[in-house]
Amino acid sequence: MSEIRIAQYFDIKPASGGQRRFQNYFVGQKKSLGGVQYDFAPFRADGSIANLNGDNAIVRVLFPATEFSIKLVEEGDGNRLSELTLTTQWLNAAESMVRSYVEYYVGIGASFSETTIELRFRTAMDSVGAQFPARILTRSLVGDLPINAQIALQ
Amino acid sequence: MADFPALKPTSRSFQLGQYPIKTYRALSGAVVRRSFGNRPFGYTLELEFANVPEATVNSICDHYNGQGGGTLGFTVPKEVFAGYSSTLQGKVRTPAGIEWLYVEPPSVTSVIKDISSVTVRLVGEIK
Repeated sequence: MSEIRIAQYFDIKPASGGQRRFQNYFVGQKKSLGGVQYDFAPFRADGSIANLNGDNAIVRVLFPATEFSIKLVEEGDGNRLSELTLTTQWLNAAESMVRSYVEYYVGIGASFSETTIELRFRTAMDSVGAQFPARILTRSLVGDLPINAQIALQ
Repeated sequence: MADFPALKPTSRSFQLGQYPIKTYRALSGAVVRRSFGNRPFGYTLELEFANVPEATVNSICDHYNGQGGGTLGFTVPKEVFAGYSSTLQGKVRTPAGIEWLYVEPPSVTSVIKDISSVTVRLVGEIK
């Protein structure tokens, strides 16, 4: 049997300013990471995925719908274009860090329910597509431009 | 936050809180446990007040309503844990960072005129 203790550190910088930092493992305690203090907040972060196409990885962070978390969203302009640094730490039995992973995301919105606030993020960088740089449609490439959308490259 | 009425129950059962752990068991039977917090939650306390007068029933009902049912947390006075040493009371009555809430409305059974039995179920959750 193996056991892993997982602590997540959430460092958000809304587009409107007012940086906030939270961690979700040490209940009711402040923890220091990189020389700065993280308050406890009961959030969870999940949903980060990667695929072969290299699309943006999406992550969502769930907070209970409290006055504090609603303020977090409202003051952060609905989580649009906020900058999130999410650090995941693996801890040993003495609650000391064994391994740490840092990910960076950009806010793309938020949603509310009666119990939860969901903040949605995606990675800032997307993969470079096969058509990069984008081709420009010219008459030499597509011939006469039709009045409908049926354009075929020649 | 009003304390629970200072009443000695006729029976009392208690369970310590559990830690926030998720378990993954592979087809081989191997187990991986992941812990997501350093404090236990979900302490449970079941109290029975058997053959008590109407005034006692009233005080429990009033407290339940005053707490908005299971909305507001409260503390449980030491009389409820009568018989336990202060050391043990510290572990089971006032665990650090825990507040008590009603799990369900108190259950009242009539015995005879002006005498009833009341069962109360509480849960201790992280503040």
